[in-house]
Amino acid sequence: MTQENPRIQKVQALKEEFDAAFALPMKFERETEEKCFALQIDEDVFAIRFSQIRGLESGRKITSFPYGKSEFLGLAGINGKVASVYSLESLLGYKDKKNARWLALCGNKELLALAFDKFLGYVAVPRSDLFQTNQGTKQREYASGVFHYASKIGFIVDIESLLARLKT
Amino acid sequence: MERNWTLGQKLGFSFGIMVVFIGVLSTVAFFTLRQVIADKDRVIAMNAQMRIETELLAGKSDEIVSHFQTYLIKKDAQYEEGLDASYNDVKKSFATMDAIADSDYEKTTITKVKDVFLKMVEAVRNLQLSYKNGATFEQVSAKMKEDIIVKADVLDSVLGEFAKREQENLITAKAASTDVANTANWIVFLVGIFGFVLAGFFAFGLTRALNKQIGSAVQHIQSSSTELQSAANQQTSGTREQVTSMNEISTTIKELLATSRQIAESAQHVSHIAEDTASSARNGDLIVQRTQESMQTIKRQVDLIVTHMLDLGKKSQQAGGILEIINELAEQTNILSINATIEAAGAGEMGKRFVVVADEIRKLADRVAGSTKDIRTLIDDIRSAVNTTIMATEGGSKAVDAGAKQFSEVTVSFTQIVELVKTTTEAAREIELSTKQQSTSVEQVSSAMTTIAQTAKESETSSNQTLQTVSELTSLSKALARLVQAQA
Repeated sequence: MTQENPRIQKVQALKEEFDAAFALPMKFERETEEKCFALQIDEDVFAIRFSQIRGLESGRKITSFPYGKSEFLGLAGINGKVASVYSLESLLGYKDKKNARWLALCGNKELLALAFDKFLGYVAVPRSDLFQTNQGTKQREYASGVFHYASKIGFIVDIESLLARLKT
Repeated sequence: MERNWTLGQKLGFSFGIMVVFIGVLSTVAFFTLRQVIADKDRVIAMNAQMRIETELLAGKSDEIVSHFQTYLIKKDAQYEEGLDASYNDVKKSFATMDAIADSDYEKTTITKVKDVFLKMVEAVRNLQLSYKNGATFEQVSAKMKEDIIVKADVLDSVLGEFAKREQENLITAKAASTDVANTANWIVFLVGIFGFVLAGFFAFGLTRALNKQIGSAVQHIQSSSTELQSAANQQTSGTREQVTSMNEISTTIKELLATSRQIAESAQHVSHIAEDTASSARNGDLIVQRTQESMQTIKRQVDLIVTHMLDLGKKSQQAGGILEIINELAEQTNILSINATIEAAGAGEMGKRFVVVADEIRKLADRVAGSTKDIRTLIDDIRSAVNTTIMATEGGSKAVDAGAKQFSEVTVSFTQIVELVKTTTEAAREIELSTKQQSTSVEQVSSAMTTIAQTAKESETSSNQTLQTVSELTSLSKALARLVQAQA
């Protein structure tokens, strides 16, 4: 009975929180935070800004395609369009594990997808943590900020830098 | 093939030959002597008889003449009767002489005498008749002188000659008889000599054969008696050792008897214990059977638990699957909210309210994700617990199976133990009986060993006597050897 109480209390808390979302006034976008989603590559945590992507997909079939670049994984059909899929892990200097499940859609003219395996969830990064950096490692080459996730410190990936590199 | 004669056969043959020879010799001597005696007797008897008859005839001739003269003188019938009697006697004599005459001379002479006598008798009868008829004395006497007396003289001459010849025959016969006796003596002598030689020959041969055989036998006897003495010595010493061994064995048997009695008592004790053990084993068997039933019940319960736990595992797996769906939904919701936020951000001011909704949806999705994470953790814990329980239950089931199997084996073993205990109890009883019998047998053996020891002692005494006898035998054989062979 005593063990059931915390569960009941949590359910009650969830319900109240949901109900409060409708009861309380709407909270609009905070200008001090950047909406991002976090991902994990090996032991490192990264984030990608919503503003730099067009969408997020998961579970799409990637059709392999022979191409010169090792980061290129193939093509995927997304919402009636064909996207070129690149391995975010390879682009950031990690070993591609060939089991990417998530696709971060980006690109202005042509649709590109950056594949990664582990999606952690939504994270709001204060704008003060955003910066430009050109530090030594490849992982940090494309970092445009830092953030805290759980007890770790992660880097915010600059998608535009990555896309510029792909074009070269 | 040379026939090997035995000593008895040789002796028998030799003595047989000697007996035969003696028999022959005796027979020859007997018949020879009998012949001699017969001849002599015959000669003596015949000649004597012949001479007697001759003398009788001579006498009868004189008697007849005398009777007739007397008759002439006296004319008495008595003298006639005397004449008749004389005539009869003469006839008898002639008959006798005819019977014993065996030579032609004798027969011829007897015939001649008989003839003369008959003539004389006839003349006498004629004169007698004539005298009766009236002839005178002087006529008859004259006639008698010229006829009867002449015939009587002739008769006497013939009879004298005959007697002389008979005497000569007697001497001749005596000489012949003597010759025959001498011949017989020589024959007997020669046969005796021959027999002597033959006997000597046989004696020599027999002696040689006896010496050879007896000597050989004596040597064998000597060697055998020596060996026998040696064997008797060994036997005596062996018998002594046997007596000693018998005494030791007798002692050992007595100790064995005491031990077997102790064993019999122990066997009896063991038998009682075995019976108690069998009773306990039977009780234990019942308990084992009940325990086996309990084990079977536990196994069934464990199997039931495993089945339920497996169902629980399946259900938790199903819950996990549902949770995956929920998680997937939450994730997709999150994606939608993210995408909605991104799209709303691109919509500018028009999308701000939508961004709020998208945020709320995202928060909801996060809450769902968090809850699903908790639920997953819980389900994982449940599944882990279920797996652990299943594993434990499986382990327990296997343990129960193993235990049941082992218990079955224990049951089988226990059943075997019960059987073995039963067998052991029976064996213990048999051992008890056997040890009792053994004890009895050992007592009998002990008694028998005592008897054997006694017999061994008697045997030792007998061996000593045997040894003594053999020593005497050896001495006798040496003496016999000295008898047979002078240099032995």
